Amino acid sequence: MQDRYIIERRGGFAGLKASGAVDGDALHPDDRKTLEQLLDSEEPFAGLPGADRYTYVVTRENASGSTTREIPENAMPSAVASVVRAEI
Amino acid sequence: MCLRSGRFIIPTGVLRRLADDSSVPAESRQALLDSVAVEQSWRELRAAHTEATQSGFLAKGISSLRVAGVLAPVPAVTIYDCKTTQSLPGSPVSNPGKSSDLTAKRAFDTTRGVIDFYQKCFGRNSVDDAGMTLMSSIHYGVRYDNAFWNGSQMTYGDGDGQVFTDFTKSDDVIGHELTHGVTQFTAGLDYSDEPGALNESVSDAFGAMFHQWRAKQTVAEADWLVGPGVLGPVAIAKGYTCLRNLAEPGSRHCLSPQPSHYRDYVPGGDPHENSGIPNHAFYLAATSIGGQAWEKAGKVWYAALTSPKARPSTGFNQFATLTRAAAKSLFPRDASVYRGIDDAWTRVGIPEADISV
Repeated sequence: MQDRYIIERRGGFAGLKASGAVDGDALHPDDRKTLEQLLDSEEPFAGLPGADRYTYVVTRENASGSTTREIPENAMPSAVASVVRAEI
Repeated sequence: MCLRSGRFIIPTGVLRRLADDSSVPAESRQALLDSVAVEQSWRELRAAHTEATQSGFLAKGISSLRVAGVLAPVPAVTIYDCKTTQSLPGSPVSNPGKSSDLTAKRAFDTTRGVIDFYQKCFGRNSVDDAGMTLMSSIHYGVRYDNAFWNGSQMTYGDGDGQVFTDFTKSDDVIGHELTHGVTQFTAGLDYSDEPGALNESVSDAFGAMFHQWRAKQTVAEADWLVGPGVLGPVAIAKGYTCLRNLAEPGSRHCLSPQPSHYRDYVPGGDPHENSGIPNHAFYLAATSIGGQAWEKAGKVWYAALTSPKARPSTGFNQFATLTRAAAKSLFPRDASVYRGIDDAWTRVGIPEADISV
């Protein structure tokens, strides 16, 4: 089973959830590498300053199990962030 | 008052590991290293600005530079164009009030309007009450479905053109974002749990009031909607009319329906979700009192927000108590104000508490 990333976007002015999923092989190698480093980092993310910012909850699923992490919007590779669609 | 410390967004270890990765293009690696240095400097600068402003007030034993007679002239309004990048602030827009870019002109004109609103209705000089320049960045990102306050400035996306359009198109959105600045420089409400919901609610209430003030509407004439102008054709075709509705937070016509009573409070919920409870309290109070919202209900809410007793951890009960006290002190001869405020909080599940704040 290859890596698959399930992405949920929370927050924002609208407070409207958005979600999507993408296979690892569908990502540009640079974006995938950045995402992997963010998921595997043991350092905590601080919340973004201000208000109405997006937060992404990314879950990586593969044969080893799953890993979930909240990632602030300005850390997310934009190509990965663009996977989500608003749920209306 | 809220004194924030510097905070890293991306762990510096991640930035440094990427910068050390030979498979990452050289220019990107240098940019990552630059980011480590710039992020830290920028955050320290912003924290110093906020801290200097607020501790200066405290040291002088005053609550406002306005009182100290060191008023800045009318606050400057600056507009920057991100040109669909996510690099803030972007390129300066010269003479934005006469720009052919309608987004730039709207951001400029409406921000000036918010400054007038706070000055004329509440005697406040910009978000920090010391004439702070209000900076806005427009055309942020590609099809970016959001507007935000980043602690120093406003930022507006163009929307995806389907669910959302240009976020400068609803004046209450601009009022909402700038009010986050007011909150940052006053109560400094935390951005989670009840304080977070209050933070969002205050922005919705003052954003709605700003819209009503511009339109010279009474509470009965107002629609009490948040963000009706930023909905795109797909959202409108599905029957949505707004993001939120202070009059009916749970309406199915809202893209983001909310609870309107404390029994439905969502523990750990998004601040935009639970803000429906204090939003509805403000609507009930304003419509019970009558007239124009900024005349009485707005002044009571503003007094609570700017009270020295308001803290980053202030929750619904404490904020309601502050509004009840403000209603009595600001309008001692008009019992209908206290009655309206007290009844509004009681109706959303926050009856008068036996607490001191």
